[in-house]
Amino acid sequence: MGEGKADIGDILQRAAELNISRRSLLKGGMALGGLLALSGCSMLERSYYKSTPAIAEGPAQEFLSACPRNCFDTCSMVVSVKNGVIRKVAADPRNTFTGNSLCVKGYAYTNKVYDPNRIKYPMMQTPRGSGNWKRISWDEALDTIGKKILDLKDRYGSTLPVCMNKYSGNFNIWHYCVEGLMNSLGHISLVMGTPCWPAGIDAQGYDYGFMWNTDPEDFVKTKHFMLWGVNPAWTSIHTMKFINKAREQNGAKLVVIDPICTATASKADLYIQIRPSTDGALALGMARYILDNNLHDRNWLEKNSKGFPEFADYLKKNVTVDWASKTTGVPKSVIEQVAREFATAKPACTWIGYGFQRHINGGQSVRNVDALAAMTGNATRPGGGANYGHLATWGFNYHAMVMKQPEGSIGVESPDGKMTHRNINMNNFGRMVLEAKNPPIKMLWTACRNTVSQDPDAPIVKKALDSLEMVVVVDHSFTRTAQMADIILPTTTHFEHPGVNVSYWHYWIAAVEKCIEPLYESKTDLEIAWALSKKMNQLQPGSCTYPTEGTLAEWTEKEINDGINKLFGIKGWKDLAKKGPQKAHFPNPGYSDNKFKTPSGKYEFVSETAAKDGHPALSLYKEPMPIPKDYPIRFITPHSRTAIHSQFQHNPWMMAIFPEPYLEIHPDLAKEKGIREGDMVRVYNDLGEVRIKAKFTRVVPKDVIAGYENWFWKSDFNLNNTVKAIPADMGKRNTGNPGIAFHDNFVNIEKA
Amino acid sequence: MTNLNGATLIYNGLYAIFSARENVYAHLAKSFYGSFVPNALREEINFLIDYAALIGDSGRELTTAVGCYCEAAGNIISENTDSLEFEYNRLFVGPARLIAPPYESVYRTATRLVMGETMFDVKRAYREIDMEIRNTLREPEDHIAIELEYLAELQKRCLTALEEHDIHELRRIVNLEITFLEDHLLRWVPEFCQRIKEGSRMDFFKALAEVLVLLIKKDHEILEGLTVTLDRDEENTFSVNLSQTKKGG
Repeated sequence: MGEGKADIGDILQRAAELNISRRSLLKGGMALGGLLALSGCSMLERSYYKSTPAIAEGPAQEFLSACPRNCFDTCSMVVSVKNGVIRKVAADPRNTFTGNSLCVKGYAYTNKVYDPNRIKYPMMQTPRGSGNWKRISWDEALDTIGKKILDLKDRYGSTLPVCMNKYSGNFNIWHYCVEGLMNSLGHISLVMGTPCWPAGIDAQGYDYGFMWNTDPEDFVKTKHFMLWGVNPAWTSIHTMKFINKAREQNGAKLVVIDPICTATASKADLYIQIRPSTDGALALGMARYILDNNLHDRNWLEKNSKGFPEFADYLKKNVTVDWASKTTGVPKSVIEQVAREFATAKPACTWIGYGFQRHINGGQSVRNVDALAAMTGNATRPGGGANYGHLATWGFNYHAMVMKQPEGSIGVESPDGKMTHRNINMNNFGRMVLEAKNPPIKMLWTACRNTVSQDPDAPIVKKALDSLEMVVVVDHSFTRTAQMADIILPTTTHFEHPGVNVSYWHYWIAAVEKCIEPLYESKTDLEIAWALSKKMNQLQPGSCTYPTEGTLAEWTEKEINDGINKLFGIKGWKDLAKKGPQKAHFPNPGYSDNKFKTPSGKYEFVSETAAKDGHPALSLYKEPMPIPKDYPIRFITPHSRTAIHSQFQHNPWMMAIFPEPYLEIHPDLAKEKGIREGDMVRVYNDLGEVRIKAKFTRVVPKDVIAGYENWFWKSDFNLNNTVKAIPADMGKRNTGNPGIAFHDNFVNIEKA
Repeated sequence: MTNLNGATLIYNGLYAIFSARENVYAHLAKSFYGSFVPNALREEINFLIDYAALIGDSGRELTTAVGCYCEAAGNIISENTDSLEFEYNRLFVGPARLIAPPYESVYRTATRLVMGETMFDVKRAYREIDMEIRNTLREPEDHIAIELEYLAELQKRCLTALEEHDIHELRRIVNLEITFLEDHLLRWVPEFCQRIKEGSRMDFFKALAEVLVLLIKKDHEILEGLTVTLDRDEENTFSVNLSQTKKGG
C-alpha cells in the first residue's frame, strides 16, 4: 500500500460488520439524496441537455459598451465575452477620442464585475451598523421598504419624510429612473445640486449663456495651452493625447497653473505655482497687461461682446500686474510673459478644472478667466475657448425620470402655489437632514452615491444617517454608506444591462449593450423601480405612479428622440448599437458661430443675470476666503489617478500601485511641526480629523498639504472629515444649489 | 464477528462506505449552503462520527476534529441561530468584505476573481455526469457547497452502480471523484479553511473548516485505497463476487 492510500480491506471489513445499508441509514425511508433536496438548498440539478454538450469553446463574442463613470473621458469600449464571462474590456477605437486605449481603471473592470466581495443579495442589517446581516428575498426587502414609506406617509401626511440622495455613480441615461421612482411616490425631500462643478457652470452661464467647451479633439489645432487647476495626466488621459499632438505638430506651448505641481504640470513648458484661490487675480493681471499692450482682439470684442469698455475701465482702475503678482505669488515677469504669449498665439486655449472653482470665489474666478479668453478673441475659436464642460449632447427624453406624482400629493408649496419637492442641498446634506422639520426626514433611499465618503461634513453626515428610521442603499460595493444601511439592494454593473452614454467633455455617444447576465440576485435600478412600484401598488393601490414593468432595451430606446438622432446621425438606440459610437454633428461646436445664449446674444463681461442673482455684474475680482488663525494650513484633496471618488480604489490592481493613503507635505512645514517622513500625521480642525502618513515633497507649497481623495476599504480614512459645508459663490441658478468650497479646507497638523 | 462470505462482505462494505460518504458530503454541502436547523444539525453530525469510526482514523485527527465540531454544534443549538447566520454571512456571503470567499476560482486564479478559468473545469465535471446548476451564469458554479453537493451526487451514482452490479461504472465514478478531489478541492480548500479558522469569531465554523480540510484529505486516501483494491482484482474475483451478490446485501 503506497503512501496516502488507505487499506480498504480493513475498512470494508468494518463497514460490512457495521451492517450499514442504504435503508438503515435513512430515517423514515427518505431517499438519501433528499438530505439536500429537502432542506431546499440544493443548487445542482439534472441537466436539461440529453447528452453532455461540451461547454461552447467558440470564439469570444464582442459587445459594445461605454464607461459610465463621472469622468471627462467616458470611453467607448469593446467587451469580449466567452462562455458568459467577460474576458477582456478594451477601447473602441471607432470613437476617435477614446482611441486605442482605456485608462488603468477601465482595464481593471473585470476585477469589479467578478470581485468576490461584490454585493450579491438583498440583505438586512439589524441593528444598523452592527454588522449583523441577514439575507432576505427581494420581495421581503421591497415589502419592508414599501410599508415604511406608507407608514411615514400615514404618520406625516406626505412623502416628505422620504429623502433621496443620488448622483453620479452611473451616468447611463435611464439611471435617472431613481429620481423617477421618487417622483412617482409623491413630493419628497430631494437632494439637489452637485458637488462637482456648479460654480463654474453658473459663471460660464453668465458669460456665455451656457458652458460649451470646444471639441477636445480640436486641441490638436491649439498653439498655446493654459491648463488651469486641472490635471488631465491623471483625470483625462485621453485629452493628453491631443495636447501632446499639438505640442509635437504645432510646437504648442503648455502652461499649467496649479497650487500643486501635478503630473500634468511636470510635463509643462511652464509651471506656475499659484497661491490657492487667487486665480482670478492672475487672470485679471494678465488682462491688464494685454490691455495696456493692445494685444486684445478689438474686432471680436466689438462685434461679439457686451460690456468690454466697463471691464477695461475696471482693469485700469483696480488692477495692476504688481498687484496680481503680490496677490498670487507669481513673479511679475512671468505674468507678463504668459499674458503676451497667450494673447499672441492663435488659437490659445484655457481649460478650467473643477478643482479651480471649489472655493468661495470659484465662480467669480471662472468669470475672470473667461474674460481673459474672450478679450483675446479665443472664446469661440476652435481649439481655443475657455473650456470647462458642456451638456450639448445630453438632450435625451429622460423618460425614466419624468414621472407625475400621485394625485393630490402634498409637498412644499412654491411661491406660484405649486407643490414641489423639498430641496435638500447635496453640499450640506448632513445638516439639512438633521435640521429638516415639519415634517422631519425619516428615511433615505440612496443609489449611485456614497454620501458618507464623498460629502463635506463627514461626521455630520454620519449623524444624519444615524437619526433616520430607515436607510436603503443600492450599490455593488459595500461602501461606507452601505455600512450604515438597514437594507442593501444589489445592483448590476454596466456590463449587465443595456444603456446609453454621452460625455460632458467630448462629443461622442455610445451604446451600452448587455454583455453578461446580471450576477447573483442583482437588479438594475430600473428593475428595482418597477418592482417597488408594483409592491407599493399592491400595498396601497395608487401610491406610486411608476410603471411596474417593461424591458430594459425598450426603455433605453425610449430615451432617444429626434434631436439625438439628428445630432448623431442615428435612428434610435438599436441603430447606434449596430453602428458603434457616433460623434455629434454640431454645425458650430462650442459657440464657434459667436451666437451666445445670453440675454444680449453676446459674450457678457457685464451680466445683468449675475447681478440679479446677487453677484457682481462685472467680471471683477473676488477675494479668497480669509485664512483662519488657528487653522493656517490649506488641505487640498484632489482626485487620485487610481480612483474616481470612492470607486475603483479598492480594486486589488489599484491597491497594488497605491496601497495606502499619503499626505503630501513640504519638508519645511514638516520640520516646523516635528514630523518626519513616514510619520502618521493628525490633520485636524474644529470639525474633525484625518490620520494619514507623511510623504515629503516639494510639489506642494509650504502652507498647503494635499491628500488624494480615495476610499481605502482597509481603513476609515476619509478626507472629508475636515471639509466644512462652505458653499462656493455660484451654482444655484443651474444646478439648484451652490457648489461646495472643498478646497477652502483649513486645518492644523501635528505628529499623530 | 459476523461471518460473511467474501462477496457479501465486499458488497456490504462498499455499500456502507458510499452511503456514509454521501451523507457526510451532503451534510457538509448543507452547512456551506448556510442551512442550520439545530435538530437536523445534531442528527447529521452523527454521520460524521460514524464515518470517522468507519474509516478507522488512525491518527485520530479527524475524530478529534469531528468531536470539536460536535461540541461546537451542541453549544449552538441552545443559542440563538441568528448568530450562526450572521457569522455565515460575514464569512461567505457579505455584504461586507468576505473573510473566506467560498469560490474556488478566487483561490486558483492569479486575479483572485470569481468565474475564472478553473470554474469552467468544475462546470465540465458537473456536465460529465449530466448535472448543472440552477442560475447558471448568475452564480459562480464552484461554490464550495456546490462542489460538495457534486461529491454527494457521485456517491449516489456509486450506490446505483453497486446496486446494478456495474463494476465499470463504479470504477469510472470513483476515478471521477479522485480526479475532482485532486484537481479541485484539495487545491483550494486548505487555504479556504485556513481563512475560516483565522477569521471566524465562532468555534462552530472553525471546527467545520477543520473537519472539511481533514475529511477531503482522508477521503482521498480512501478512494486511492479503493482503486488499489479494484486494480488488484486481477482474476476478476471481485467483480465476479460482486455480480453474484444479491441486490440489497
